[in-house]
Amino acid sequence: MYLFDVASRHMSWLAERQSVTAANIANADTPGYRAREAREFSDVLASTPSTLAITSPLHMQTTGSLSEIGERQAGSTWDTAHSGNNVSIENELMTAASTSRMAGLDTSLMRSFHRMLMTSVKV
Amino acid sequence: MIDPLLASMRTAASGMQGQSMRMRVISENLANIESTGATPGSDPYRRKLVSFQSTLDDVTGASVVTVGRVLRDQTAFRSEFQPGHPAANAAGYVSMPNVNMIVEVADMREANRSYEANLQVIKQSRDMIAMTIDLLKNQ
Repeated sequence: MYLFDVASRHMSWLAERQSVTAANIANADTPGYRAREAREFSDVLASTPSTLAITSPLHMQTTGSLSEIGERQAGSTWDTAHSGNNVSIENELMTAASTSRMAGLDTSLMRSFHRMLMTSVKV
Repeated sequence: MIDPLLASMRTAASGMQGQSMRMRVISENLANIESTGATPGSDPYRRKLVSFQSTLDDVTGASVVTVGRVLRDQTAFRSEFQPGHPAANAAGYVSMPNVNMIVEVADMREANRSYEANLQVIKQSRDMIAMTIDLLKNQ
């Protein structure tokens, strides 16, 4: 069931990425605002193991924010306005579109994997 | 901290609210492009400006945009020679509002563009939520 776990983690990462994009677009005209971006999913996946064994009631669940959010790298922004704002709406809309596309892929994968699972269960 | 997708919709909605406030101020400026004083030497309408701030919404944890105070443009007034005007000074000049129609229209286009971008974010977030809900259907 590793695939379900990865897919659901990817989807929660996508949700956070979408909220970062929304904040960038909403602040497209805020003076001095610097565009932010979520950490790459591969880094997120590599740094947090998918299953942490809980062997004692004192162990804490690993929940909460998956990705650290940092300022967008200097090379990846397209323009900087005179006010110090470096949000590019086109760039952000591209990010939002790719987020949406990946969410579609995730849900399709989950559905088809679930169908495969049900096929083997029903035999 | 609420669900990030709902937070993104909240953020985009605050952006739209900010841009519509900006449209309102632009329309006030355009409507008052010829509003002068009524007594000799009095000041005409002074152009208004909105200012945006990025703040953290305490309830939802979303980073939202708030409209700060409406500021006044400090550039000089235009002056026109109209000796018969009630607001004309001794030399016959009337000071007119410091509103420039080209600037206002350009501002309006920018507000329009930002509003549209926020709308796209809301649509996309909604589609993503719908995709997840669709997983429960047709199985």
